[in-house]
Amino acid sequence: MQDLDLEKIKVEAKGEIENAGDLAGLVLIGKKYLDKDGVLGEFFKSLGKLSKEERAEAGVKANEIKQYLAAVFEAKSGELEAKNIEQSGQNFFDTTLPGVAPAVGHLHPFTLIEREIGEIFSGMGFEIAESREIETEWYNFDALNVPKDHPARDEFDTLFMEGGLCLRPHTSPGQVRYMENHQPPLRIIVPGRCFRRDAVDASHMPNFYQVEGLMVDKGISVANFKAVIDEFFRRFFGGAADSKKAGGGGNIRLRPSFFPFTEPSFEVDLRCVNCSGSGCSACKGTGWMEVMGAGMVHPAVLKNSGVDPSRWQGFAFGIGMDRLAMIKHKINDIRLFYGGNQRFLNQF
Amino acid sequence: MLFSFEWLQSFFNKKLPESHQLARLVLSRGFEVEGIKKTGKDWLLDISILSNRPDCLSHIGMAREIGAILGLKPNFAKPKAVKSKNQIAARSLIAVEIQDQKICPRYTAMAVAQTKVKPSPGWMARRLEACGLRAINNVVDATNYAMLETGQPLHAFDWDKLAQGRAKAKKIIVRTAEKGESIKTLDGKIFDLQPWMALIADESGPLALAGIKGGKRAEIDADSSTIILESASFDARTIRHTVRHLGLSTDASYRFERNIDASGTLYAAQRAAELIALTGGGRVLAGAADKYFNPAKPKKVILNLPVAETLLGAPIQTAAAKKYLEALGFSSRKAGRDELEITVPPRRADVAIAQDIVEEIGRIFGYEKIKPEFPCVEILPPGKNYFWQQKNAARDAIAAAGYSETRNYSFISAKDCQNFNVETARLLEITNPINADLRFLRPALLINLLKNFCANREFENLRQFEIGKIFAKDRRDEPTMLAGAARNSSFREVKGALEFLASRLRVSNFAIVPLESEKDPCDDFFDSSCRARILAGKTHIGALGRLHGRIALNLGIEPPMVFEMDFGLLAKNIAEKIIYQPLPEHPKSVRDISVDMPARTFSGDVVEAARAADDSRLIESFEIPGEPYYYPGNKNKNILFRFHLRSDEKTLSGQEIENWQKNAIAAIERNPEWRVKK
Repeated sequence: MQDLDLEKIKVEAKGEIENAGDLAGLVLIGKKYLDKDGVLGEFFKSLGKLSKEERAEAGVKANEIKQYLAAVFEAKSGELEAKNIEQSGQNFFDTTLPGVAPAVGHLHPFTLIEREIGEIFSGMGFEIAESREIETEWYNFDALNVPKDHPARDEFDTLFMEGGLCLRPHTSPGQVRYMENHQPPLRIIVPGRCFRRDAVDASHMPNFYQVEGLMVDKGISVANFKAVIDEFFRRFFGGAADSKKAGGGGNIRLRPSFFPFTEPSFEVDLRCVNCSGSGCSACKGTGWMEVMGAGMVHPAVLKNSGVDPSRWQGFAFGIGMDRLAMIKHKINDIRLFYGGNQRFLNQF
Repeated sequence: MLFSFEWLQSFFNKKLPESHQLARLVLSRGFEVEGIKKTGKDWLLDISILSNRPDCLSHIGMAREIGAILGLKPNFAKPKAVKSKNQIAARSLIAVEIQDQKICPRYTAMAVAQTKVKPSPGWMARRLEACGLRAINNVVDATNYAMLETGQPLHAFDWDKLAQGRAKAKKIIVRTAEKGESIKTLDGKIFDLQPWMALIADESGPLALAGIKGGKRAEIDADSSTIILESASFDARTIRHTVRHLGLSTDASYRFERNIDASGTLYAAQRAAELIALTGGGRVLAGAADKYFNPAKPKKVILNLPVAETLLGAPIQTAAAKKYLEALGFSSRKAGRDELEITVPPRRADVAIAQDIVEEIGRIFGYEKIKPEFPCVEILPPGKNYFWQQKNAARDAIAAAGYSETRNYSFISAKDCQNFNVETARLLEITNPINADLRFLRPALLINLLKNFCANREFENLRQFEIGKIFAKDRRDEPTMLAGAARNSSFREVKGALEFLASRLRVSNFAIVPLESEKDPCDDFFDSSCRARILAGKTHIGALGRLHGRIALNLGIEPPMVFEMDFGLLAKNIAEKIIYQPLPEHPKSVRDISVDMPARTFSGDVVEAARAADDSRLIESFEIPGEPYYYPGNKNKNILFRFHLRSDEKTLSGQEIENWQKNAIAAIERNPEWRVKK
């Protein structure tokens, strides 16, 4: 009999609580069932009429139901409260407010590029070396086999100072300085600032950056150079260059050239990263971009650096870093790199 | 140089590939083709001839290259020989005297008599003008035409205008200039000559600047009929120095500077003489007055084929190699197992060693045919470049502190020196600057860095830095500096940024201290009321402070906070490894001490006093949470010091902290001007 009543109370109370439309209504329902004077209170009072055993059993049962209903009440109460807050707008948060940037500075694009170049070549075992910006004629020209009193010397557009000093027009003196202190086998890159007697315009700067590369070992060949440089460009420009195969050579083209410090010498063209070689304005319709001079190290340079050319041979190259940065980021004016335009720097 | 396609074609029986395709072949096998344009029925190829290949500054030279590239044999017709029978010999009209064989190893003179000077025929004028030379008259044009064809510069004199000496043959003298001598060139300009300059003269004076430009005196004019043709070889250095000294460069000097082969003078003279007779009539006199000192013996180079193969990294077929070389004018014979003895044609001064031969073989073979192959070497990781990494770590740290990286010019102008009060006498100066703005090398990074502050006005909180080299006469070591500037920043913020940098770089002995003397060298840039020096250990490595008001005024900016330090010196103090410090085991206590003191007291001195009394070494750190409070009148200020106390051994008791505080206060108040507020 009591069991039946209790079950009925449970079902009815649960139904009423769950259907409550607002907090006030819920409180009334709570009072109706859970208060001392409520339905359950009355039930407890009615237990006095029962025998001791029956009372104990019904009491336990009633308590369980009371706890159950209290839990249902709490849950509904939380739900209605949340609904209330939501409706009042108290907990509204405008997530479209703009973010507040941390006051962190930007690294120069050249720093990012130098790091990337360094990382790729380090991965292929090249050490990063640095060298002087002011050079003597010996390191800048003579040791590099650049003939005295020859137009080849003029081609460097060198800036000179008193006392036979000059600002290095290329990073190649770094080869000599490194080899003076290190015997092969060796692999280095020498990134650094260079200087030429160039008037400033959108593609010329009196100071600019080169990355020299040098590998000297046993039997190093043009074929080796092609593989290493092709791989470098493949990594540097990501999938933009044509060849998907490591060191496949599809990204580059060698053309004969003349540098006194290499023999044979090449200009290295990169398959246009903009149009993949079909011809566009970036490559002046040729499908190729001139990006570096290179060649097999001239025996005279090895000799002048204290390396025995009958035992060792290798390749050397000089990449124009400004140009690589311009190609990579589609920058059309070299001047942007120099002079700290903050709007420019903020993009890197 | 501009090349006429039709002219090049004239050396071949077989049709050449059309001009664009030919250009691509030349580009991949020989020289850069800068452009192609149509002119009339002809195409012009603008080909950039490498400075070691003067032999290709000619249509014959280029045709030889094209022949080698295409495997076609060009025909270079010999100029028609002049029969000496019943002929006056050139030597009866002209004699050559070379006074200094170093400046002129060979001089060939030929003569054409009874010719008529008139406009050149259309075919000749068209070719010259297409190649960028103005047609003048058939004689001058013949010399230019022969130059474009053979590469050998020539000059024509009017024999009648040459001085007549005692001998019947007039004398051409090659000598250096005499003191005070000058020459009037064809264009009417007068040049004063230096005693080392090479001249062509007759017995009465200069006729031409050797290898550069002809003189007015023996100029060909409408009435000239006996023509002397000069085809000579001059010392490249002398020509080069004269060109530079006089600022006078010509098609002839351009070639001579690149060292023209002396063996080709007679051929070119014969060709020019033939052209004069062809266009103006008259007779080419037999023979030539030809002085030729020490003709060089042909060079021989041994080529080891396996060595050549390892240099290219591709197999070389001996037969193919021989074919390429022969097409270029080299001859070869077997010299031993796997070895060829190569004879170098005299026009190829650029070829002297086996590698030079390998280049010839490689480029005609085609570099694109060499299969890329990674080197087989030990996979040792590269050595570490610590300084490179340190610079990068510094860039990351200072950028994290809010500064953006810039790369600025290495050059400064005289005006910059004025603006920054820099003495130009100590600066390295460019002797051939391109303009006055790029005359000196920067003795400090701040100079150009601060110019950025003029340009970036819209950035209220601009913060920039640079890492780079500076230069001065007494700093041949090219120190690498780190400089920065911050707009709308406080001294404490910049100091904090630098301390953060030092801690990131693991420089534990980094300190920023008050300037000790007014004479401190770095401090002209700073406002004397707000500046400090930067130390690493005991070494003074730089300074920071507010930019001097006068400099700011010169630049037209509000003075920012600035700093510059020698990064190389800082880097020397970088600890290589992080060594872990055991974590504290006992809790920390915090005590505030508020001190009144005269306005010009360094808070650091107060802290020092407290530290001196800290016998049991409880002060772990201190901070000054707020800013100093200045009492009305600005004579006195109050600073709140917050000390963090901790013992390594135990949890501090209330009594111990109380005792520490008592001692600290007593120590501070030992200075009669300092009062601790209770």
